[in-house]
Amino acid sequence: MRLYGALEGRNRRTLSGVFLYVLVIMMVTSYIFGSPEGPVWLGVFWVVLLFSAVNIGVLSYTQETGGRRLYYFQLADPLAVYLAKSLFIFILLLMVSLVSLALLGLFHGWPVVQPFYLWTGIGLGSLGLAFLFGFLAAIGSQTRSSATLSTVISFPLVIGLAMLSGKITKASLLPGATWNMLKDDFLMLSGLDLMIAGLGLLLFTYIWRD
Amino acid sequence: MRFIKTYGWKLLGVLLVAYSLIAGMLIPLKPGILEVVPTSLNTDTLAELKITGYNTRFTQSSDTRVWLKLNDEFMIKADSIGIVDDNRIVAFIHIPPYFPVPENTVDCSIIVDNSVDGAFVKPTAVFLHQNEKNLDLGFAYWRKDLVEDLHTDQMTGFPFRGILEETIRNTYYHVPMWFGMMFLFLFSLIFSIRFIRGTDPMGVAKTRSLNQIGLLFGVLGLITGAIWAKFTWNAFWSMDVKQNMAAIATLIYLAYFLLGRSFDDPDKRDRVTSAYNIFAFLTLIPLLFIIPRMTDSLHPGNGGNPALGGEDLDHTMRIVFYPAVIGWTLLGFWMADLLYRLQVIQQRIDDKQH
Repeated sequence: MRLYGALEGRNRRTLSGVFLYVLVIMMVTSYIFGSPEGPVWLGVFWVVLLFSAVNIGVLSYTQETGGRRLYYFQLADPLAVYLAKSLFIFILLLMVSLVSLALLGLFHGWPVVQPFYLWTGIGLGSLGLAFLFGFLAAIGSQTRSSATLSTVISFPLVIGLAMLSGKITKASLLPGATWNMLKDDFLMLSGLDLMIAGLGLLLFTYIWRD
Repeated sequence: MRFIKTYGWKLLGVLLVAYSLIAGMLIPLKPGILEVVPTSLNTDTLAELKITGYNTRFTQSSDTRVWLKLNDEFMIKADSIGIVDDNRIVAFIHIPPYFPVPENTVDCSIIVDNSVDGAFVKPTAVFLHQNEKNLDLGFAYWRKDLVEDLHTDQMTGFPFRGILEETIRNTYYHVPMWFGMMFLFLFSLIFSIRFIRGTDPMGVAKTRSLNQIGLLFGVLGLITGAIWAKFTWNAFWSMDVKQNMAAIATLIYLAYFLLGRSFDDPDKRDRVTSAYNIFAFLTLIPLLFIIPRMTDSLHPGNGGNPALGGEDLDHTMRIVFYPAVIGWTLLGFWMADLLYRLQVIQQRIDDKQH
C-alpha cells in the first residue's frame, strides 16, 4: 500500500492534469456566471469537485496498463488496493477542494460565515466520493469504454451524497444555522459514507480478480 | 398440489389484476361538490350560491339541506334551496354583517346533506370578506345552526376528493407499480448475492430478467405518475423529490444494462454486473426512503400532506388497493420468470451451435 502511494505520487502527470482541469472549469464557470454569489458560488465549487472526482477515479485506473495491474494483483491484497485507491482519490479531492476554494475566494470573494460546516461537509462528502469512485471506476476500467461508462454508472449514485453534503455546506453560508438543525444530515452522510466504504470493501474482491 | 404450486400464484396474480381493473374502474365515486359559485362574498347580503354536485341525485330527494360552516362553532343553515337538476342546486344564505372572528377574510366550507346521497363537504369553498371588525356584533349575528341528523351514504363508492376526483382510481395502478418494482429489485439483489457467493450459478440470468421487469414497472410508474400529476398538480413533471428519486432509480438500472453490454468476457461481465447490482441497490434504495422524508413533496405522506392510510385510503379503496398490489407484484414475477426461461433456452441453443 505504501508502495502504491509512492508510485502514484511519482506520477506527476495525474496531479498536474487534474489541477489544470480545475483551473479550466473555474475559468469557464466564471465566464458563464459572472461573479457568483452565495449558493451559486457553492454550486460552482461542487460542480468542480464532482467532475474532478470522476476524472481522478477514471485516471487512477486507466493509467495502469495490463502489466502493472498484474503486478499489483500478485503483490497486494485487493482490499489494500481498494483502500489505497480510495485514499489517493480522497487526498486528491481535498487538494482540489483547497485549490478551487482558493481560486473562488480570489476571484469571487468569500461568502462563507460558518467555515466549520464547509470543511466538515467537504470532508465527509469527499470521503464518500472517494470510496464511491474507487469502486465504480474499477468497474468502469474493466469495460471497453471505461471513461464514459464510469461516468454513466456513477452519476445516479452520486446524487445522494451530493444532496446531503451540499445541504451541509450550504449551511456554512447561513449565519443562523445550528448544529441541531444539521445533526440528522451529518448522521446520514456519515452513515452513507460507511455504507459505501463497507460495500466497496466487500465487493471489490469480485471485480478485481481476473 | 404440484399444479397449485406451479400455476396457482400465476392464476392468483391474473385474477387479482383483473379484479382490480374491473372493480377499480367500475365502482362509482361517492357524491361530492365539484364547484360553488361565487367563490367570494361580501358581508350583509343574501347570497345565492350555485352548487354543482358530482354523482348526486338532488331531484330524487326532497330533504336537501346546506350549511355554510365558518368553524366548529359557527354555522349558518341555508334559508331555502332551489333544485335545478340532479347535479345542481341553488342555496340562499344570509351572510351577517360582521364576523365572530378577528380576521377580515375568512374561508368557509359548504356542507350538503340529503337522504339519498348522504352528507358531503367541500372545504374552503367560499371566501367571505368584511370591511370593518366588530367581534361583539359578530357573535350576536352569526347563527350557530347545528349540523345534525346527517344521513350516511348508502352506496359503496370511492371517496370524492377535491382535486383528485375520478383520478383517485389511479391509486390502484400507479402505486402498485412502485411496490412491484421494489419487490423485483429486492429479489434481484438476493440473486446477485447468491451468484457472487457461488451458491446460484444461474443467479445472473435471474437478476437480469428481474431487473428488466423491474425497470418496466419503474417506467410505467413514472408514466402513470406523470399523467396523474398533469391532472392534479397541473404539470407532467414538477421536480417533486419523489419524481426525481424515481427517475434516478430507473437511471441506475438503465446503467446496469448498459454496463452488461460493454464486456467482451462473459464471466467477467457476470461478476462485475452482479457486484454493481448489489452496490447500486444498497447505496440507493435507502435514500429513496429517507430523502423524500427530509424534503417537501407534493406526494401524500410528505411535507405535511396526509399519508396513505387513515382517511386517504378508506375501506372501499383498501379492498381494491391491496389485491392490486399483490396482483401486479405476482404478475411481475411471472413476467420475469418467463424472461428467465427464455434466456435459459437461448443459452442452450447457443451452446449447441458452438
